Amino acid sequence: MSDQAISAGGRAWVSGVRDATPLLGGYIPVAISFGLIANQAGFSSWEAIIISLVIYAGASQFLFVGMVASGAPLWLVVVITLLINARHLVYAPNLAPWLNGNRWWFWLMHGLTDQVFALAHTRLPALPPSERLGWFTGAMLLAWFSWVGGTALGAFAGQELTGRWPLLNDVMPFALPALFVVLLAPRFTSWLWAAALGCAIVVALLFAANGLPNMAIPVAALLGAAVFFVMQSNTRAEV
Amino acid sequence: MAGELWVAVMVAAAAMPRWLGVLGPVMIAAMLGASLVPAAGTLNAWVATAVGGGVTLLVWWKTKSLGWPVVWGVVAFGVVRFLNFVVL
Repeated sequence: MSDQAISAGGRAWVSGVRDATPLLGGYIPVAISFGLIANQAGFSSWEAIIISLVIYAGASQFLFVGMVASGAPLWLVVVITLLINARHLVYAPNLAPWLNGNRWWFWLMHGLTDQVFALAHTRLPALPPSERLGWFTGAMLLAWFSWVGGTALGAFAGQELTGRWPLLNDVMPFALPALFVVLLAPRFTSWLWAAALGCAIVVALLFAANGLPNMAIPVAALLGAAVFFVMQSNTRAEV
Repeated sequence: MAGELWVAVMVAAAAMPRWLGVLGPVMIAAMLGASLVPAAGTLNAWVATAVGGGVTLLVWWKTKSLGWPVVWGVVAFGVVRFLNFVVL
């Protein structure tokens, strides 16, 4: 490999890490909470860290710990986890056009979360093909390690940390909606997209505000897509 | 094994239907909607969310970058939340 190629790969890594940095504000406080809750549910600190390392799926991990602690059968835990993560069936084909045949992509997809998908869906098309693997590796590793690191922090020192700086725990998670705002803003390119995206935002907000966060994303996305296609077909009919 | 499976995934994805391409962005929008609900659930937390979101959008409009809008959005959210802690 030439020096130029290595330096471009290195730049792509750094660029991925830089782009994924806002995720830390959302991941670390939630991961700290997970470490704390896993401990309280009877898991050891190392078990909590291994769950974050291997399962690496926010809501599913909380459910996993809760269900295992309450004695739920393993098959039910697996079914619920698969249902919650079914949205990844949409993520992968949306990213695939920007990936090449490199076999590393297969393993790197372990690091595909909601937020990494949102980031990659926006950034990958803008990058030259030679830099995409490096960019994704940098972004996903930062997100993954921050999640595992946050879990370790929560499992070993969570109670003391949140007791000392309660406001930090409250403010940092806002980095996630702020990041989504930035990722979505350039997509408001027409009334059609504005209506579809606006519908999805409002429906998800209503579901989540009424205590249904897990249903919020699939239902809101389906309604948003329905608005898109209904409006598109009406526009065509008028023309 | 992983290599062959990956190639199969790529081939399947090449024939991605139109609806799947629409579902990607609307899922990001749904994530935004779900993440806008503040954990505190108080009036101040909702005001902070609105202010933080507005500042994020404004800074994005000015800079068209990824990092600074998020930083200033979090700072604005934090200031409103902090004022609530100080006043009350």
